[in-house]
Amino acid sequence: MGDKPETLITDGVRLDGRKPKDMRALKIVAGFLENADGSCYLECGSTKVVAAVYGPRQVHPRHATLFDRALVRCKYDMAAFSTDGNRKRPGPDRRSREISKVSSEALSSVVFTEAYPRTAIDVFIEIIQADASTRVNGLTAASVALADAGIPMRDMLVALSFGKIYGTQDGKPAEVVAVDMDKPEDNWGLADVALAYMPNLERFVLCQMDGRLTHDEFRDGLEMIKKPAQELYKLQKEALRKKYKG
Amino acid sequence: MISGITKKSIMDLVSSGQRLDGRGIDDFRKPKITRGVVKNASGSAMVELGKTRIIAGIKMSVGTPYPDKPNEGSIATMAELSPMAHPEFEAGPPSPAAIEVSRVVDRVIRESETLDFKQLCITPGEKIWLLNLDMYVLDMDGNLFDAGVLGFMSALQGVKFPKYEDEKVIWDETGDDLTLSGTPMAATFAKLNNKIVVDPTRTEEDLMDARLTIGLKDNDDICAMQKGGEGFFKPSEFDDMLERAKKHTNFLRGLVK
Amino acid sequence: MSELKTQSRQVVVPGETLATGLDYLPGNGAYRDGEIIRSGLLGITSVAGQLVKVIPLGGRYIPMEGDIVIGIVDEVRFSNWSVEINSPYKAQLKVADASNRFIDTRRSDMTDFFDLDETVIAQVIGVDNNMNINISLRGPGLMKIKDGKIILVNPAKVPRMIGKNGSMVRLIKEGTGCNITVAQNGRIWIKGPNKDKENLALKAIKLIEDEAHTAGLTERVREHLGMPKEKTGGA
Repeated sequence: MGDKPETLITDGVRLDGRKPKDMRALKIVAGFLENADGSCYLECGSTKVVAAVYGPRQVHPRHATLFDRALVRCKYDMAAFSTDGNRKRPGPDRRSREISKVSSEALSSVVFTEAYPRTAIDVFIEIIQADASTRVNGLTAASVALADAGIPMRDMLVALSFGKIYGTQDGKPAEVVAVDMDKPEDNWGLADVALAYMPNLERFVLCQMDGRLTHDEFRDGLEMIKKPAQELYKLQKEALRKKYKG
Repeated sequence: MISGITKKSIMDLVSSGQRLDGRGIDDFRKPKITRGVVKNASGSAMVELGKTRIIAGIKMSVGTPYPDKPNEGSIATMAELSPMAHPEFEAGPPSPAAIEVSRVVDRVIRESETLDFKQLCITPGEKIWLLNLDMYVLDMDGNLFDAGVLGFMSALQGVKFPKYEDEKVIWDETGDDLTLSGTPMAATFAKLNNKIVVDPTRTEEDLMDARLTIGLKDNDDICAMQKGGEGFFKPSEFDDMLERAKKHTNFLRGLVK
Repeated sequence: MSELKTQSRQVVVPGETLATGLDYLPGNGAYRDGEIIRSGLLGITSVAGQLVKVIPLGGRYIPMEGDIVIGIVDEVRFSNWSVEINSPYKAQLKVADASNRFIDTRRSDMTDFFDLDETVIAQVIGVDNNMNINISLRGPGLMKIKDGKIILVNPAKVPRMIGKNGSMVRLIKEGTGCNITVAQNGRIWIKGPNKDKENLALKAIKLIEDEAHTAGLTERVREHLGMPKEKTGGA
C-alpha cells in the first residue's frame, strides 16, 4: 500500500495529474462474452471489470421465486489476483456480500421486473483488476450488460464515486471534493461516497458513504458528478450502439 | 438444452470425421494469448480458445515449508468456474468439476519439474514463497484443462520475485526472475461415437463417452494424465492419443516460447 | 407542445427520450414518464403516426398465445409432458392436446408418444397470469420431428427471418428446396433433400441473423442462394 502521501492534491492537481472533476480514462465494450445473455467489459483507469447477465430464467432455488415480478440478483466478486499486495482469498466475504446486496437493490429499481414474474435475472460482476471504485464501475458495467441482454429498463444506471482529499492550495492546507477515487485517494482520503444514478430520470439508487463530509461538501459532490455521469452515460450508449452498428 | 436431433447430427458428423464448428477431428482451436492483463498480479495472461475465455493470474505469498522439504517452496492452483461463464455454472464453493480442473492443471505444471521449488526458498525451514496460480473462467466452451495450462505457462514467463525484508513483502520492488526449465503443455481428447476429437467444445464434452488429458514435457515425456467420463479407452486409443498429443502440445508450446 | 425527439430506425437505449408531450403514444418497448415518452429497451425505434415503438435487439423469448414454438421434451409425467421452449417459462403438453387421436393413458406408455429429448413443433394455446404455458400439437404443421437440423437464433430476429408476409422464409425455401419452420422462440427446423441444401439454408439463416438490422438484406440472401436479381429490387 505504501506510505501515506504528504498531499493528494496540490493547487488543484491530483497525484495522477487529474483535476477534481476529472474521471480516469474510460473504456466500455458491450457484448464482451459469448455465453451470457448480455455482458460488458469496463476499464476505469486501471480498474478492470467484467459484468454478465443471465435471464430472465427459471429461479433456483425455487423457494426464492417472486410471483409477481422478476428477482434481480447481483453477485459482486473480486478475483484472487485483482488486488495489489497480497492475494485475496477467493469467494465471498462480508464486504462483497454487502456490495452484492446493495447492488441487487440498485439494479432491481432500474429493471421493469413486473414484465417477467417468477423468473430470475442474474447479474455477475467480476473485478479483474482493482484500483478503487470497483463497486461503482461494476454497476455501470452491469447496467450495460442488462441492456445488452434485452432486459426492459426504465433507464440506464451510471455509478461513480466522489470523495474528499487533502492537500495544499497556494501553500496552505486544503481539503478538496473530487470525483472518481483512485487507490491512493481511496486509501488515504478523508471521505468516500459511492453513488448509482439514473441519468435520464435523475434518481439515486445507491449511496454508500464513509468518512467525514460537511453538508455543503456532500451537495458539492452531487453537483460535481453530474457532468462525469453524463460522460459515462454517453460511453454506455456508444458501446451499445457500436455492438449493433458494427 | 440439446435436442435429440442435434445430438444425432453431431454424432453423424463425427463419424464422417467432421465437427459442428467446421473443424476436423484433429484440429485444435487457435488460441489467442494476451499477457500482462492484470498489473496487480506477478504474472497474468488471458487465453481465448474458441469461445472459451480464461484469465490466469499469479500472486506470490510467503508461507512456511513442509517439514520434509524445508528448503522448497510450492505452488497452489485454483480454478474458479464463474457463474458468468455458463448458464449451468452456479455460484458457491468449488464444484467437483472445478476441483478436477485445478488439480489436473496443477499436476501438469508441478510434475513437469519446470519449476525448481528450491528457488522458492527464502529461509530454509522457515520461510518460502508460495506461487498462487488462480484461473478464472469467464466464458466456457470446453477444454479448460489445456486453456489453463497454456494460461499459467504464459503468465509464469517473466515473473519476478518481490523483495522480502524484515518479515515483510515489498511489492513495489522486484528482484530476481523466476526460472523455468521447460514449458509443459496439455492436450485433451474426447471420445464421441468411437471417434477421438482433440480440444473438445462444451457440447462435445456434454455428449462424450470419455475424455483424456495428456501433459507432455518439452522432450515429449508424459508428466500427467487424467481420464474423465463414464466411457473407456482401448490400448490402441492410448497410442493414438499419445502420438497426436505430441503435435498439439508442440503447437501450443510454440505460442508461449 | 408535443415534439418527436427521434425518427424511425434509430438505435436507442433504456431511458432515452423519444417524444415529449401528450400527443404521442408509447407503443411496445416504450413507456410514458409524465410528459415524456422514453425507451424501455435497447432497440430500434419505429414511428407510425402518433405511435412510438422500440423493437428489441435481443432478449429471451416470452410465450404468447398463438405462437408456433419448437420445444424439447424434458420431463415425461403421468398425464402430460414438460417441454423446454427456450424461454424462462416451461410449457406443458397435456395428453388431450398431444394428438388428434384419443390417447388412453391407462393402456399406453407416455414415452410411446413423446420421449425425453424428443423435439416437437407446437402451438401455444394458453398463457395464464402465472405464466403457466400450455401447448398443443393438434393443428396443421404441428408434429414431432425426427430428423433434419435444428438451429437457434436470437428470438428478437425471428420477424426478420420470416419477413413481410413470410417473404424471407419463402425465399430460402425456394432457393434451397428445404422444408423450413421458423418458430417464434428462435428455433428453426430445416429439412432438405440433402445435407448440402440444408447447409445452404443454414448459412442463409446465419446471414440474416448477423445482418438482421441492415438494409438490402433480401438481395444479399438471394445472392447467397444463387438466385437471379429481383427486378423490383430488394427490401
